[in-house]
Amino acid sequence: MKNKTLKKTFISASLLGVLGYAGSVAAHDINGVLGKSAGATDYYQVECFDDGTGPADHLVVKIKDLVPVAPPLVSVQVTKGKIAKNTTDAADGNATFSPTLNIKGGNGLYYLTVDKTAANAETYNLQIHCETSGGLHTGTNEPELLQNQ
Amino acid sequence: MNKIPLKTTLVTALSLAALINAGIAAAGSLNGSLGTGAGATDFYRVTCSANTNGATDNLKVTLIDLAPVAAPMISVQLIKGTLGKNTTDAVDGDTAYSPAAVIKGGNGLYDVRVNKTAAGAELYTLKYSCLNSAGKNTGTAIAKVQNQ
Repeated sequence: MKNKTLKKTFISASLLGVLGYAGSVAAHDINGVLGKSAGATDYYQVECFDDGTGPADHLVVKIKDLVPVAPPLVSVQVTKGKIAKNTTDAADGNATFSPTLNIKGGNGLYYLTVDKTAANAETYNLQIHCETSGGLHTGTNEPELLQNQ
Repeated sequence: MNKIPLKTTLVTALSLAALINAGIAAAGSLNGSLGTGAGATDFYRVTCSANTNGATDNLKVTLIDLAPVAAPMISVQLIKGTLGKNTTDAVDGDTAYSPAAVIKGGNGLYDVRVNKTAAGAELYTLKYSCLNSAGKNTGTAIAKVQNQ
């Protein structure tokens, strides 16, 4: 119960953060929260498709560990078929995202997990875009949250 | 005549090896390395199946970050269906494994990914066990999908 309240507080703070960001970020921009447990893992599914711009060549993903500053490092992993990649935001609470992942999996479903290295709640901002081989933004379904921890 | 004892010896040796491997397969362990790139990720698929202990209830995984000691922390994630779990070894080079990550996904295919938080090569040992609901080993097979 206490954890849920804490998580709601973080979500509210994160939503306020999103409003602040709204002018500068693209559509598929998620603010999320990882609970206190060291193993807490959020799990998303996103689909890339041709929206008329052209077929997807790759998925672009990056993550930012938001304030409050806490010891765990936050990472995102992406899997599609036989491809798996990871990126970690090395510094909590600053304006810099993790290095960007490009997963060349074409159209279809991509699976993303967001997790952290230790106990303590964490908030994050996750950015996701499907792009053509020319780097144009193409069809990206709203990411579906499969598991929220 | 000489070939028969040789063949028997080989068969015996192979049988012994199979027995040893069977034990490892029931509670597998492997050593791996991650390259210097910060994003280096090893990707395995573990297949859990029923055996004489019955059907699989869960896959349990732990890992240890081996010496030499380096800055990155190593983590492993399990995925099956809509379930995902992560665990991290907080200390490099000691004898303690990460907390166990467990997914109750039953028999079938689990994705297992090993990665790290920063640049720098790393070594690890990964332990994985398919278990029934009573914690006894069930059929466990692993395949490496990606080695970075």
